[in-house]
Amino acid sequence: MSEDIISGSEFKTRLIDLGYKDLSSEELKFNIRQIYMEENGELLKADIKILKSSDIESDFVKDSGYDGIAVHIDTVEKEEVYVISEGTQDLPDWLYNIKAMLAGQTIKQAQATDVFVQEAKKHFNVDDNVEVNGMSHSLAHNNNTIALLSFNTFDNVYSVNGAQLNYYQLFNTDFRFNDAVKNEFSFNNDDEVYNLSPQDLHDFAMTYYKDKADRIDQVISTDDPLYAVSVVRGFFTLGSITMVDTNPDVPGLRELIADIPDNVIKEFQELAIDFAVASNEGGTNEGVKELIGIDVGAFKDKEGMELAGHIIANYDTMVRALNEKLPPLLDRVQTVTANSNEIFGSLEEAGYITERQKEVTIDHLTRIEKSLIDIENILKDNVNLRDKLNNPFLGAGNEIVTILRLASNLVEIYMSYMEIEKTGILKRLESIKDSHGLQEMLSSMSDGLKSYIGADMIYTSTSTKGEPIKVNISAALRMYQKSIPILEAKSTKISNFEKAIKDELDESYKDEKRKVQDEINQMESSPSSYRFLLSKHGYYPTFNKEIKSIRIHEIFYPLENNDFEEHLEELKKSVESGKLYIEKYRNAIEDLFEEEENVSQLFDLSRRI
Amino acid sequence: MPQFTFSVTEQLIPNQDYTDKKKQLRIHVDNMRADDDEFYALINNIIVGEDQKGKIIDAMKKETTARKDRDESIYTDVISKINKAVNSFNEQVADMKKQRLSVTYEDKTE
Amino acid sequence: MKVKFIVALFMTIFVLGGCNMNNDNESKSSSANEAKEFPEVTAFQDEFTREFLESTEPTREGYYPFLSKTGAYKMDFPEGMKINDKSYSIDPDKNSEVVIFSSQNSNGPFIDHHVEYYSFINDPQHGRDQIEGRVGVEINFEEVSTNYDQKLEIAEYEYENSSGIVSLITKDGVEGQIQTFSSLRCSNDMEGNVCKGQIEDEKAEIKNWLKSIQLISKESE
Repeated sequence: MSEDIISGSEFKTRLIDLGYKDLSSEELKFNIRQIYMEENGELLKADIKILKSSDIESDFVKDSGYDGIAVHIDTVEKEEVYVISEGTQDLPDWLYNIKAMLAGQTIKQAQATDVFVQEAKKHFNVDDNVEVNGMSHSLAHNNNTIALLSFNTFDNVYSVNGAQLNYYQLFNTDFRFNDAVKNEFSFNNDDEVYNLSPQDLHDFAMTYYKDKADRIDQVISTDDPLYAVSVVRGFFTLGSITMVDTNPDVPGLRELIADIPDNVIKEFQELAIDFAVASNEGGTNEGVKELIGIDVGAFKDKEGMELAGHIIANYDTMVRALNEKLPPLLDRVQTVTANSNEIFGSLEEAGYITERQKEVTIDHLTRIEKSLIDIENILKDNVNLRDKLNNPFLGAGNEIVTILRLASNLVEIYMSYMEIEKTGILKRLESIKDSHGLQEMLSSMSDGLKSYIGADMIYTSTSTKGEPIKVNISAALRMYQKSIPILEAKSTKISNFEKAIKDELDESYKDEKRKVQDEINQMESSPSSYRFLLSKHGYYPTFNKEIKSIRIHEIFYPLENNDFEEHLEELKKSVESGKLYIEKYRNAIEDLFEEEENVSQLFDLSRRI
Repeated sequence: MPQFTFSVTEQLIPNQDYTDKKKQLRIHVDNMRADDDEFYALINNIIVGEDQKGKIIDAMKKETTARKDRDESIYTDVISKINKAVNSFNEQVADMKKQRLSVTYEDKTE
Repeated sequence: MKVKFIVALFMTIFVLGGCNMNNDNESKSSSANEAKEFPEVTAFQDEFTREFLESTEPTREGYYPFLSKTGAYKMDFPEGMKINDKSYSIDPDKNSEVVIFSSQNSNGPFIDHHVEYYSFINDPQHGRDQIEGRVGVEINFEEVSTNYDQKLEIAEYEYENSSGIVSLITKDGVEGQIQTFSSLRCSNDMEGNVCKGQIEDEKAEIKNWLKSIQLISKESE
């Protein structure tokens, strides 16, 4: 097998990154050529064609949720298709998908991936001998690998920080696997699969798909939260895996998560996702509402009878909601508080949170737990309250006290949540999210003098004395390519200015002169129309006088102060010197590096893309 | 009948304010500035980090600053020239609209 | 936006400390009493399956009317089967739905049906290719006449220990398609020949049943 046209983790990761950038087909082609040149030090001599999922049937992207780009590269010697499947971009989708993924169900996106790839092959007019490579990040990896294993959509899949395969998903999708599992574990109906030992199923899946593992290449950050989450029941990590520690300051979450029973993680995950989706849509208020089923925001500032009135008015729904939400929530919160010193202690030790954040969080979680227990007791002691739900006279005496106690507990929970949020602990944990991204992965992919910032390639110069100097080669090449067109654009603007001067001053002056001249002609040719001149200049009485002629002794001076010659000259000179300046800059960068680093060649090539 | 002639300086056309031309001309300078901004934006990211030092980098930074300053001073000159030119245009047009004329009339009573 | 995302992670981290509490919540309310009002068949005794059934009046012997939650199709639901709620999936925009249901008795072959609806797959060729890909062996589709104005294509396959029937249902003027996968197996501990003998009858029954699946055009709703 000859070398892939797009080779190397760096190139592939940068290609996947392009998928997120919302570029036009032309921009994509240019960027692919640019990255190829930067990575390989030579021009990509190939024909590139692009098909985006949004280019095919109008409803496809909307209905399937699949977003991807197919790139056909033809070097004459070799033809390949690369399909960049995008991970989910906006948050609710992301969370929804995690939830679905944990449940091991939907393969909708894998189906859509396959449809898109088939359409792309048709569009590019390529047969099945042309290699099709799937490129993916995040959830797209799950889709791409399912498509590879179930539909043979791809020859190879390359992924960064992918959501792993789920064997329940495959059990319901790949019928050969389904059959093999039933044979291996001697059962007959699909739903019995959930009774099998997850470990056995995991091991069987790994063995079953072993032959296809060499078609899957993955790079995973040890700090990726998705990687940490995939220790739970259902997932298996297939393929040739390169682990990278992208955030050396922290140890990563997977080890910390690994010992926890997966049903516990799963429950929390669901709880967290419901909460996060709700608070994303409606703020803290919605988040708390999702957890306890009650809109605390609606009454947290009320007091006394007003508060009681509100509660009574909404009593029915509130009790129903609490009955439903409270028991599992209390269980979950108790699980956490029972282990809070360990949990937050290890997070602090690992450097994810500060000591104060740990303390405030533990304190308020304990308070939340206390309030939840109190609510549970209230509900238990007042089972008969439920029977009075429809009683309009509910709310006398003791019941008012009970109701206020209920309300104050709810407000306590709300306030405690706010306190936890206020410590900034949530923000602090944001670095965890960065570890899922492509950029942190690229940043850790350094190779000698080469490294990455964002999706740009950086060279580190050691040729000068003192500190090594980092130069953004991608930016330098962009400067070299794009600065000339910009300077040309500026030249055009200078010409426009020159023309505007002529129009606004010289031509305009001529116009004015013409208007004056017209008026003169008018006066000279019909002097009788200008009788008013007699009265104006005091030649009374005027009734007995008649103007016979008017003669204008006109004097026109040429326009002055309209000479911009010197200024225009300066502006033009600045454009010319700009070109020299770019060359100087290029030379300066070249001087920072040794000959063998080929920087000079890159500059030359960059203008030929 | 006798004819008489008198001479006066007359405003032939009403005056007008042409100050708006300053804006019409300055737009072009703004456009050029926008190109410069784009140009310098390309250059800004090349050297990673503000605090990197070295002979070559210092030289380039100096060159860049000098260039920017020079461009800026050209623009300042151009704008003051525009102001001057338009003001002058205003005055010259106003002058041109006033001309000396001789009016000859006939007095029918005499 | 970002902060809220972290909430999700944060909640995950809640459990990092190595707790070993068992959260199994066995508080399912017993709805056995309610179930008494329904026909005494597996499909109606199962609370989840019941959600899909439109009437307690059978459509024909052994089948009750089923309406998918996407509203995209109807079919006859076999009374002896139960939908697995763990495997059921529907996407929030109702563009796909996967229903898996199985036979619950062990007399004769074990049967699993997968009925999958995708609103965004239109080309029948994609459907056939995907089905073939998932089955993993070469299959030949044959068009079968149906009760409705739509196209039903059926193919069969054999594995070593099981057989299967797959189908593709498409309709002119209706977006999307239905892919079905039915597998039949005889248990190891069953008298081989008895079960095997029933397979062909069951297959015929399934092929007949597939004709009951009806894509609903949105306009006619």
